[in-house]
Amino acid sequence: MSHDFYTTHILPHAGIIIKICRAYSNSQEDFEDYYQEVCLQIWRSRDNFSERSEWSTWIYRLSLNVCLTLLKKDKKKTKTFVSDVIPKEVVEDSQSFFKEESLNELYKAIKQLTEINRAIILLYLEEKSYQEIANIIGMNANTIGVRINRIKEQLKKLLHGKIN
Amino acid sequence: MEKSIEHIWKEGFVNNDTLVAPKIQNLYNQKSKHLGDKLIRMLNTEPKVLLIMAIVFIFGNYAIGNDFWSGSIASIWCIIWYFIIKKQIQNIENANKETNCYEFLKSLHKLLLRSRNEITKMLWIGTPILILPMVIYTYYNQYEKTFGEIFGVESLSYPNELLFIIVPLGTIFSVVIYRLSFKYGYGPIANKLKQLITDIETLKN
Repeated sequence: MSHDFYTTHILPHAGIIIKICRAYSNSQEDFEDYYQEVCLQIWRSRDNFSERSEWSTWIYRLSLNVCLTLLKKDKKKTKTFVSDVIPKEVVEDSQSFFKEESLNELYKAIKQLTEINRAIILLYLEEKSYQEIANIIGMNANTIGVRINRIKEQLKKLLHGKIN
Repeated sequence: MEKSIEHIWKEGFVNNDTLVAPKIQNLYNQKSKHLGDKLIRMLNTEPKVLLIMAIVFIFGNYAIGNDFWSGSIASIWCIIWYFIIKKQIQNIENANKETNCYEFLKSLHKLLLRSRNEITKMLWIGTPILILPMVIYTYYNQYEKTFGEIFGVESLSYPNELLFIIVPLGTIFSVVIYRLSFKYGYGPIANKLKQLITDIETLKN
């Protein structure tokens, strides 16, 4: 990957890539691996980008796909199964990556969501519209709305008493 | 009062220091190391299988009442193959993983293809050497019988000289089987190696 490409096309969107990678990785080492793999895949697939969607939307989609693929691989290695299943061991393994304690708590709660719900809430928190989320995830926009409400309820329960 | 998750999110990421991108470095080092390890793991199963085959050929042949030597030839062939594979594994393990991952990937790719070519060559030469004594033995031992009678199919009333066609056919068959098993066993790794090499070469240009 050329330095120019990284600086001009990836670095301006590094924020969302970092947020997504943090949500799917459980250690600093994993996070760095995921981040590098996402950047590499963006570079490799750059010719597949079509002007129909925005570059940032394309990066969201690709980052999510790469993270989900890596997560599947990691789960295969540890012989667990991948699906809409809530991970149990994640919270214990998670470290505090951010200065803001409440953000760390929120991330720990997000990591307890299913893989798809994690993707949905990340996009919602990034202020993507329901339609945009639906396009990225491949779901109906109405379903996204209902699902976001449920996820928020779930997060509230998980965070209850942990943050002020 | 509890903060909303939207508020926590926004507040948490207000400070840009929170989102420091990790440095992109040694991008291919870990990938190349993983590929090398995977290749060694895959290759390591072959010597074990070859040793088992060597034992089965010797004692299996003896058990079904054949001459000891007919099984020994196949066993010796397996043992030669065993040492070739062992040498290839050693070469891959010796390839330097630390200095330059491009060179490491290139050497892995080269070793993998060389291994394929060496084994293919060995099959072209070794299979006739393996089959021919058995065919000659059968030919003289069952000289009076026709080709069909030897195999228990009386309707095939061809002269038993036809037995010798087994030598080229068996050789071609063994090469085809090996190339197919290589394609489906090691093909994905070879493709991945090629892709990484192309990536690095594109970067260099």
